[in-house]
Amino acid sequence: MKLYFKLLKTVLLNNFRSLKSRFISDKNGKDAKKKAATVFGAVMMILGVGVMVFFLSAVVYVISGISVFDNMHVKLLSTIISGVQIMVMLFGVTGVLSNTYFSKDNEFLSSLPVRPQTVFSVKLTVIYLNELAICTVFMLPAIIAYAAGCVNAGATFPMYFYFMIPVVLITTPIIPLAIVSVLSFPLIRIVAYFKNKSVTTLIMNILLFVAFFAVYVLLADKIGRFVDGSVTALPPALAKTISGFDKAVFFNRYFALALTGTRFFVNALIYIATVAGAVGVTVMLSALLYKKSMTAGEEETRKKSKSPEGTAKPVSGLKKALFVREAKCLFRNQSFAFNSIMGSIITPVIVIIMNVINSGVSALSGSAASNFVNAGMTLFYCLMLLCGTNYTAALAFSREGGAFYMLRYLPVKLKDVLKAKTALANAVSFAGIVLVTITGLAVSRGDVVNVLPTAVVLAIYAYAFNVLCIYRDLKKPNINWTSPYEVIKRNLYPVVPMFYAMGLGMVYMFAAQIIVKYEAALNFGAAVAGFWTGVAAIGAVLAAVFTVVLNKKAEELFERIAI
Amino acid sequence: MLKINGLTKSYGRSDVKAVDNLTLEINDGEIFGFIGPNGAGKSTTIKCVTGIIGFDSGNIEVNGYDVGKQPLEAKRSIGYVSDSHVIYDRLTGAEYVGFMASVYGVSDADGYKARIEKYLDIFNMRDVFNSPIKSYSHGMQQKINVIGAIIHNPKLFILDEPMTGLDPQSAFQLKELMREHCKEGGTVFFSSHVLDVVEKICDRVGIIDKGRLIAQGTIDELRSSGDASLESYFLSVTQKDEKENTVSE
Repeated sequence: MKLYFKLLKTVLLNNFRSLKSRFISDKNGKDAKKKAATVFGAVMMILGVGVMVFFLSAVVYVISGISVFDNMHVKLLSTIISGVQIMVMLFGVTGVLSNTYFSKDNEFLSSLPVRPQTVFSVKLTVIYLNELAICTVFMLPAIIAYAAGCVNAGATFPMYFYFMIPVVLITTPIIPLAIVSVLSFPLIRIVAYFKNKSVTTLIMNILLFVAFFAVYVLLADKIGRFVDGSVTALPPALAKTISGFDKAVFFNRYFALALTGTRFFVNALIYIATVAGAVGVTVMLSALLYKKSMTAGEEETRKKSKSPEGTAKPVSGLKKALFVREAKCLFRNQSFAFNSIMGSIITPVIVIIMNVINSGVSALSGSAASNFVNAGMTLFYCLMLLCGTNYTAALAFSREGGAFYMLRYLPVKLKDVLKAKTALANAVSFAGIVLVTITGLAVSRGDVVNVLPTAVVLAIYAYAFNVLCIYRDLKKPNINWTSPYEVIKRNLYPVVPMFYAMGLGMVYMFAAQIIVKYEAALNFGAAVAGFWTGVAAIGAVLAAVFTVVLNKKAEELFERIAI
Repeated sequence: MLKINGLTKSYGRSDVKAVDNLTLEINDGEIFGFIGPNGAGKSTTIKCVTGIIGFDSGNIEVNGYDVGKQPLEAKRSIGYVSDSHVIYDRLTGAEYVGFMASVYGVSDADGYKARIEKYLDIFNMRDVFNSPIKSYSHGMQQKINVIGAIIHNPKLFILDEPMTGLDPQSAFQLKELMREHCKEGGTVFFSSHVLDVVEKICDRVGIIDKGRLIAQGTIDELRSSGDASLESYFLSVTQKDEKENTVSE
């Protein structure tokens, strides 16, 4: 236990200083402009997260009030906890894999006289603390909104409910992380069986992500229908989903019962025992399996090359060579690859869901107006998740890590390196746009009038945001990472452009709704054409500005990066 | 001190053996140099001995402890300097060495402070000891790596390419440290490409090529085959091995 705390303290201290150095300049007080930019970024991020938290809490407040009338509020509480746990699983997969199996400190820690399960526990604790912080930001307001909604509707909670909120926050991420950890042992062994580990890990990762995402969508879909529908009673579909979750995730049901005043000690004990059991099983399995799984995951197979000349043919042309290098480096690191292509995978799924939800509740379903509103919403989601969130661009230089120095000594122009990085980021974005367009055409039954302009607009914004992200990363890269987890999850900097995109998307979405509202007073066809032209023009201006800024500042920023 | 018997290791499902039936014994108080071409299996052997990776067959005994069955006891007898530098580079040198001392259970009662003082003087690290490792030069990072590895006075000191990045003075001091460690009853096992260093300080040398130990003995024993230096002997045996493989293929 002493070693566990010593090791945890060391890892956390190293991580904290690494994080601190990204926000607090070494030249204290000298670079006011840099500090102002950091403060601006932080404010934008707080605003963005604040908007998301506000909407989430508002939905929870409304549903909890109604749930009291149906006597479903206890079940709703357990469903909220389950929902957050699914989110932890969804985003915890990458964290667990990259931090426990593909981390640079694995070799060093393996040489120390420390039990593998201690190392595993330390790494899992680091991920847990990260998830706990994220959970707290989203869950604390949601639980308060839940309590306020219920109390406002006449429900009463024992006083200890409020004192137990920290316990809810602390325990919520434990079980999902335990599940992901236990799943990771066989997953890594399966990956080790295949010779092309990076691709296999990536596929496995995507499959797990899609599975967790499907469960989450099931819940979100029902809530989405409810929010758009009646507000006087829980619709049967939502009530059924809440009951289903409550029944399936039994430990959360007992916890919710305890919190709301039913047999506190017995129910709380069942929950705590389940949490303790999950921790126990994970630690026990890690003692048996972690070392072997970690070694299996890390070992790179050295194959006998039959024709060395054939396997390492030089790529003709500098630009092509740089692009191929970028692509290979990205896709052979499953953590970076997974996060880079995640947006392109999720967005088409969201397009399908939003169309299904809208076609179910909208009275205008199938009409030109309805299709245009759908397109506005699709634009919002795609701008946020496909254009604003592209780790291929956002970590363009950071993902180089220790290999960054190569860019300094290779006899290539920075301009060519930037072109290769932009081309790869665009390739990932454009693949997502193609998928969005195909799914959009399918779910809208061939609404070419809106789907094609959406594709064109997204291509412009994707390029603009990729250039912006590359510029931002060049400005503040994090090349001194130990695990990809540090630059992907424990790093809010690459997420900031998503909030810019979200802001733009919201404006466009509301503009589309305003056009539909005043449809009768407007020439609808001309208004729609004007809308798409305007959105495209703004995107083109942004793309031009970002490109000019990047080209102008790139050399200076590149030289400033300390190796 | 170190007994390796029939060690075989392949990576993943590869048909290539990184280490092939390697048998080696290193005695107490001995400096043993492990040399071989790139990809010969030196680092893999060292990683197996230090318990970083598992192996397919054979067994390894360190200070009487079986690495496979008693990994923690075996690791406590080892001080390992890897070919990569300190990972937790946001820590100061003092914090890193303090961490290593805690992991190996070294306290003030064991002479921790005195040892620190000694190594700081030897490696001229006193001025930077409280600065973050990230600010160190390549050679300084290697030196703090060495101090962290030897702070618990290990019975077996294992170094993978230890001279890389060291200035002549530090390289000399490290050689002296290795000698002193052996005089005090410890054992040193290190891999290197710098044959001059190996020739000067090693009691015995092992040459590995394509995972197999192709020669071992004292420098004089190896030279007795007619070669003037360790370098010429090394080149002759590794090239001979290469030719034999080409013929058999």
